[in-house]
Amino acid sequence: MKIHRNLAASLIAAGLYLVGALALKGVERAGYLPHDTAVRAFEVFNGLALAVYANFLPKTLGTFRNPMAAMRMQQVMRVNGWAFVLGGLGYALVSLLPLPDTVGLALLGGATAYVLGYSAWAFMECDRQERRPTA
Amino acid sequence: MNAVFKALADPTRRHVLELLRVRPMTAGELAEHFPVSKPTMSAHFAVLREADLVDVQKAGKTMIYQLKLSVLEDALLGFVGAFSAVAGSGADPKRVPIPKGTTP
Repeated sequence: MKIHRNLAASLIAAGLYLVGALALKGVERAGYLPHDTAVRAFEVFNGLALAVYANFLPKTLGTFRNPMAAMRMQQVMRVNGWAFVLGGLGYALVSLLPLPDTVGLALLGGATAYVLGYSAWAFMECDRQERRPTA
Repeated sequence: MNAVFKALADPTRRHVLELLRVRPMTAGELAEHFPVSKPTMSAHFAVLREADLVDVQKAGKTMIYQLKLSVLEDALLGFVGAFSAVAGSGADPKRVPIPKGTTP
C-alpha cells in the first residue's frame, strides 16, 4: 500500500515536472518570455524540487537491527538531507541572480561531493567499528 | 504541521528529540534522562509519534525510538531550542550533555 502511495506521488511529481517544462516552453514560443528567462525559471524550479525532495530524505530512514548501523545511517540521511536542501536552494537562488550557470552547478557539485564523501566516511567508520575485536 | 508545533512546544519533547539526534534509544534509556513518571513519558512519546517526528520499532519487549525529522522540522527544532534558550524558558529537565563527536 505504501509503495502504491509513493509511486503515485512520484508519478504526480514527474507529471508536474513535464507540465511545468511544457508550459514554460509554450510561453517562450508564444513570445512572452525570452529564452534565457525560461531556462532560468526552469533552473529555479529544479533547485526548489531538489530542496523539497531532500527535505523529506531523513524521514525515509528504514529500520536496522544493528544499533551502530542505525546511528550512522541516521547521521548520513540527516547530513545528506541538509546538504541537498542547501544545495538546491542555493542553485535556485543563483539562477534568480545575474550570475553564470557555473556558480549554481558548483554549488550542486559541492553538495553532491560532500554527500558522497560523508557517506563513504560513515560507511567505512561503521565497517571499522564492526570489525573491531570485542574484549 | 500543527501536530509538529505542538510536539516542539514542550521542552521535554525537544530534549527527547535532541537525545535521539545522537542515536536511536530504547524507551527506558530515554526515560532515564527525565524525572517524570512512565505514563507521562509515554504520553510525550505518543505526541512525538503522532507528529511523525519519531519512529518506533519493537525488539522483543523493548521499544526502540529513532528520529524521523525532515530538514525543515530539524531546523524548526533548532530554532525553537535557540529561541527558548534566549527567552530563558529552556528549562529542560535534568539536562544531560550529549557526548561530543557523535553528531555530524
